[in-house]
Amino acid sequence: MGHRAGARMMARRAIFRLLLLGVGPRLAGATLIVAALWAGFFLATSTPGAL
Amino acid sequence: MIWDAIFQPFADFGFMRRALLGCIAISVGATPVGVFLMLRRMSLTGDAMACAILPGAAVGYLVAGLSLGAMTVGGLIAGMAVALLSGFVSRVTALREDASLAAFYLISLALGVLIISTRGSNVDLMHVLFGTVLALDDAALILLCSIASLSVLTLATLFRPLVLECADPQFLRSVSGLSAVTHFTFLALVVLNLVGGFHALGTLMAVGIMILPAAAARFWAVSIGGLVLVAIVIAMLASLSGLLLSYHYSLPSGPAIILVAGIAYGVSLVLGPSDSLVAQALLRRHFEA
Repeated sequence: MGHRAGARMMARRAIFRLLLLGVGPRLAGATLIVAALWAGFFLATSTPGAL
Repeated sequence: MIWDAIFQPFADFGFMRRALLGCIAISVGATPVGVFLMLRRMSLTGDAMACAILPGAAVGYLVAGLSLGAMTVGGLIAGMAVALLSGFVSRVTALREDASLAAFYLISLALGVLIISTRGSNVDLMHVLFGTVLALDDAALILLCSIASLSVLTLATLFRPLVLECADPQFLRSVSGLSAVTHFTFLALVVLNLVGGFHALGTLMAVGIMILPAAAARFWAVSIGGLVLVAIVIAMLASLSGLLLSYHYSLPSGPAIILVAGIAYGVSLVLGPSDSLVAQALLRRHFEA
C-alpha cells in the first residue's frame, strides 16, 4: 500500500516537473519585457512635454 | 513629414506618451490572456466579464468618486464574484455555464449603468463605459504596468499547464493537481486585465484589445508562442495607429484603437498565410490542379 502511494507520488512529481519544463528561460524573457515596460514608464512620466 | 505625422505628437505631448504607454501595457498584459481565452473557446466569456466588473466599479465610484483605487477594488470584487457565482450556479443547477454567465453579466451591466446614471452625470457614465486613455495619470499608469508585469510573469510560469488546459483539460485534471490552480489563476488574470483595461478603454472597449488581436493572430501564426507574439505586435500597432488617428482627425481614442484592431482582424481574415480566405482558396486550387 505504502509502496503504491510512494510510486503515485513519484509519478505526480515527474509530471509536475514536466509541466514546469522551460520555465527558467520563459521567466527570463518575461523579466526582460517587464523591465522594458517599466523603463518606458519612467521615460514617459519623466520627459517634459507641453501637456 | 513622417516625423510630424508619427513622432511629433508623442515628442510634444506628455498625455500622448502616457496614452501610448498605457496601451502598450494593456497590449503586453491583456493580449496574451486573450489568446488563451480564444484557445479555450472562452472569447465571449471575456466580453461577459468586462460587463460584470461594471457594478463594482460603479459602487467604488459612489463611495469615492472617480477614484482609481476604489473603482479597481470594486471592479475586481464584482468580476470575481460573477465568475465564481456563474460557475457555482452551473454546478448546482441544470443551467449551463454560458447561460448563467450571460444572465449574471446582463444583470451586472444594467445595475452598473443604473448606479452611475442615478448618482453621476452622463460624462461619468461615458468615462466608465468608454474610458479615458488620453487622461491617464501616474497612478493609472503604475496600475496598468503592475497588472501587465504580473500577467506576463504568471503566464510565463503557468505556460505549459495553460496550454495543456486548452488542449486537453481532462488529462491535466487526471494527472496533476495544477488544473484547478491554473483555471482560477487564469480567471483572476482575465478579471485583473479587464479592470486595468477599463481605466484606459472603458468596460465596453477593454475586451476589444484582448480578443481582436488574438483573433487576427490566428491567421498569421500556428504555434501558441507565435500566436502570443503576433497578437502583442498587432495590439501595439493598433494602439499606435489608433492614437495617431484620434490625434490627427479628432476621433475618440478608445474606439479608434479598437477599430484599427478590427481592421487588422479583417485584413488577417482575408490575407493571412494560415487558414485565411485567400490561403484556403489557394490550397483548394492546388488540390484541384
